[in-house]
Amino acid sequence: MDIFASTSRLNVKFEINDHVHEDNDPTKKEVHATTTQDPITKKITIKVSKQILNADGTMNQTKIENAKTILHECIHAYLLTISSYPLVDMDVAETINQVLPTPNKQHDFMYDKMIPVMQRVLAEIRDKVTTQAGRTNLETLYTMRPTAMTNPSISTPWNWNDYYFNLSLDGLHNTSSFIADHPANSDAFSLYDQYVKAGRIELDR
Amino acid sequence: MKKISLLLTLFLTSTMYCQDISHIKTLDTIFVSFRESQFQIKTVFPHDAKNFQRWYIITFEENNKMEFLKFWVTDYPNPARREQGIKSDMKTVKESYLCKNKNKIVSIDFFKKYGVYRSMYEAFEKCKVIYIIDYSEIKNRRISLYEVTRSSSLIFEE
Repeated sequence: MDIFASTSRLNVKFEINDHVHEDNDPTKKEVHATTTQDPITKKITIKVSKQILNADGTMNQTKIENAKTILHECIHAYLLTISSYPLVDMDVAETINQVLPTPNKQHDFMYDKMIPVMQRVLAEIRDKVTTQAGRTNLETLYTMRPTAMTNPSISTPWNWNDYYFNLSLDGLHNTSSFIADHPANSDAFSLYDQYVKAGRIELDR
Repeated sequence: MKKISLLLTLFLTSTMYCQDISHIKTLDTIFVSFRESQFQIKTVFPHDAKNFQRWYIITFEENNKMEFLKFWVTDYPNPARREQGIKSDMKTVKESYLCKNKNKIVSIDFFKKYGVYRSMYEAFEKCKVIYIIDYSEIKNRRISLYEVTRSSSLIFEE
């Protein structure tokens, strides 16, 4: 992952905290990770919750899910970086500041524009963060149901690109596009759920 | 006999399903009552299905949003059981069995009361086995139970 290749400055500090909360406010909901920028120094901090790394925690994730979470936060950091340093590209910085001023707006951007990039990155790193046995199990032991809610008889084999697509949606569920595309009890939400669940069961085995 | 059966069902329905979470979260086996309706949907896949055999979705409104808990019937409940060759349990039981276990049964009312987060992560904290009680499958006064795993509409923010 070479997301900051064009700059040599220190871009991001990573912290692993016992718990991480929305807006870094302990009275708010617990989250997997946050990316924030100091408004004065412009330094960016990515806080990752230890809960997603603990094998026995309620929020624990597989290695590929954790990689996706870090990728997701790095995209936030990248958007914040290029909007904070107009020398990189004045027009791009102004546009991002105007169009993507909040994490939720950045999520809309990720949903609409960045999913193919996330799919590509996940495909590149898959073999480093998953086991061969887990991958074989998914490919041989699972039947996916793309229209489970409307026509349960249709089945497809496991498809890695579909897995990367659905995994990339994690954390983007409050975007208007996700809500429109994935209503509760829809085929699309069901397929997302099937891929994420199957991957979580198998890929660290 | 039918009257007794009806009375038993009414008794079970009226007394046991909205349990206190402080009790439920101590249990290692929990039974989830399922009655097909607009908010309780069952999907059964064809017999040639691999792994996902069927699921049960219980939907409810929370903070003006539709949330759900989903209970999956799979060949094996987890990879460790698959390695041991122990399939997911499926059995039929008499109503008296459910009466004996009435303090371990929750229903949609429980999930509505405690919301998706507490239902998903707190209620099943110590639970090792979850059974769905499928009241749409009653044969010879025996009710179908399916060992399931769970997921939900809850997705953590990033």
